Amino acid sequence: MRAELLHTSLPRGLDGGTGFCVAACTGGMPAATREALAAISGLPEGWPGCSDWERTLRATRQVSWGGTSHWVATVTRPCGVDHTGRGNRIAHHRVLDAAELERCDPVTLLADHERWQAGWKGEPRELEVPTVIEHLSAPCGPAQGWAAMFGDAGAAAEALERAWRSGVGAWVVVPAGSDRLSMLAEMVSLLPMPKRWSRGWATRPLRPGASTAPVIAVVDEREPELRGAASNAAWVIRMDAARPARAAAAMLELARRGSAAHDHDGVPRRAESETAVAWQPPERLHAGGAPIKPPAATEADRSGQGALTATPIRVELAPTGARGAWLWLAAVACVALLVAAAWWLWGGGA
Amino acid sequence: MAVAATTGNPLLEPARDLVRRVTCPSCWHGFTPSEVLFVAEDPRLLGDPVAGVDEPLRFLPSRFDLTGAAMDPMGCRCTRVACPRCRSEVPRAMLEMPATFVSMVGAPGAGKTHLLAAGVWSLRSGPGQGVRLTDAEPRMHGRLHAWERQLFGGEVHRLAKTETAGGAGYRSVHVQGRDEVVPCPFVFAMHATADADRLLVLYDNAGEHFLPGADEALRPVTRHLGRSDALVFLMDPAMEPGMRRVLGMPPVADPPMRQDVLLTEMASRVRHHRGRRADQRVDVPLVVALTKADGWSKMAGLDLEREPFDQDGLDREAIRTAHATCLALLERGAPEFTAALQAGFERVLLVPCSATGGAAPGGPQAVRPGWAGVPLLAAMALREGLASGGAQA
Repeated sequence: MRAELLHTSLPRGLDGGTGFCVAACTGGMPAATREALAAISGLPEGWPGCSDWERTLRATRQVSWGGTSHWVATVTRPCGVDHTGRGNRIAHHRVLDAAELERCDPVTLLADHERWQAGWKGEPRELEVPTVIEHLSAPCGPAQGWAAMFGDAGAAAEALERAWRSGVGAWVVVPAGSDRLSMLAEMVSLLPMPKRWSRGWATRPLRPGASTAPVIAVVDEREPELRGAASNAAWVIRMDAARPARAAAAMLELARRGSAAHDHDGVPRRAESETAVAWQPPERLHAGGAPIKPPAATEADRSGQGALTATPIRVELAPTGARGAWLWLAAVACVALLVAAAWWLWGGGA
Repeated sequence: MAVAATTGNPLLEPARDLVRRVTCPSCWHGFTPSEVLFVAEDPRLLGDPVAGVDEPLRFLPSRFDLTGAAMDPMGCRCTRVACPRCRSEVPRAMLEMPATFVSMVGAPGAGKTHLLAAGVWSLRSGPGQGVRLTDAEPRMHGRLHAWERQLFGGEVHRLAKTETAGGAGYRSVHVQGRDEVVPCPFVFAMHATADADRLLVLYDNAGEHFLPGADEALRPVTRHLGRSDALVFLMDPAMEPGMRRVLGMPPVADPPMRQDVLLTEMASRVRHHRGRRADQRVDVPLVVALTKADGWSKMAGLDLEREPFDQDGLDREAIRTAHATCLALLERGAPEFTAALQAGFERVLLVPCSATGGAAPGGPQAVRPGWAGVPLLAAMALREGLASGGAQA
């Protein structure tokens, strides 16, 4: 099913209620769908001094109603004050159908600002069935947001691998002020398209178990939810910039160098060069504490493209030819030693 | 030497008195103290099948240390306790002191959160009220502390709108194979003397939860109405066109909603959840708090500058006078509301109050509540039958 619903605070909603209520939804939407979407419309509280952009929740998650699970993309953001003079927010949900899931990258959809309402004016009303979202994806580029924050674009691959292993979802904690949407997009782009919809994705912490499918969230280190989470919680992943990223080699390479596409069977296509990428300790890292403004991301994201632009980053390549020869020589010597030892033990020495 | 061996020995201390039956403030399940579950402290015991994967394991202890604290399966000493049904954490004081549940009900925008924060703040710090409140478990009141800081620390004069789902006000638990959303209550110890002798349990619901049709089995966030010892209904006179006319306020084009409908809905829910007949009046004491009185009290001839307390606690004469004034006002401006009161409730008290004292958002004026703690104290007093100011509807 394809449907949309907008939930915000109004003097009078579509169903006659007041306060937080349905402002608009696709005509003929069943009550169970409305209730399920209204129930996920809340916006988590931010931290002191948090901007509207930072407080915005962008998420894809699997929600159940009527005995079946549906993928829902949501953008919930603050939107001024309501009729009572108190802070308001608007949640815009979009229920996706199977065809859209095949063609659409989840985070690119969330970052496509044209699709998401930033506020509501006028009377509540019913909406037309939304048009099918055509192909919406971005090539996998080097994870420059991760490189800027952790000194190594491979951190995106490590974060993804660790979060993927969690059966209940994960919160990947990034430094204050990071452009979480861009980082999430870079992380998701490392996956082949069919796998991107086997997890939910979010830019604010969603409680483990809040979705039928595990949700991987990239969260700011100032999130109040992090204080409440147990210090040893397995789903809270704190990245360490002081050591090289650890992940599968192909994934690391993809994060560091980027690739135009994935193979049809989901295996990331290797770059043309077979040279290995050597990790170098970062020369300069974000010091933490003082928040970094999301640099061009805010403007670029508003244009709907910036978050997913592939920009090459400089990586140091180590020559591997000489080292390979030495490794072969060492291996041959080891084998010879073993053969000699065996010959001596089984009688040759006696 | 024998004295030294026995003195201070926890085994020889007198047994602690526990209440006979505890009511969970989240799911209102009744249980005996022996059924209570403990919350594991060992960091390896994370994840509970009911409370959630992000919560420590709840368990029925079989090992205790000398002080009576439970030991978790990994040998850590545990002191936190949880409800055996919804496994939400319960303040330990609930095992030791009787609790009074007070439900605050009102339309969206009536001022529930503001009155809760301002009322609790007044009762924490205000002298001469006969009663003081302290947090039973400060760790569980982070939300309330943030509101108090915002209102009385000069950060903002208007709190954010209460969410209907998600956030810190509700918890999702997996009970008997289905997901349920339960509210997170505020539990206070009430000190009438030097020692706390009673707990007060309060809830901050979104007004949307009280609208007709919003009571759901899977989101039983207003089921406290069926367990409440007293009700506080917040009525904003500025939402009623008739009251605006009587009080000389400019009319509004589209009044948000009828509060008499909400009152009738509340009475209906209380009857349903208590198993009462439809024609029976609700016997739970009701305090109708007429909010935002800073905007209309002068026109009504009420003085909120002086708090209604004397050396014995509540000044009953002042409260009775205010009740009579408010009743006369309601009969002129909102006769349908007084009719709903008379039809639905046996014991009613009308109290004017102001949570912010008219401090404008962003303005320089400090928040100065007027009579903000009175509705809560009056509800407790009506429930105990101590106040003669309570009016028969």
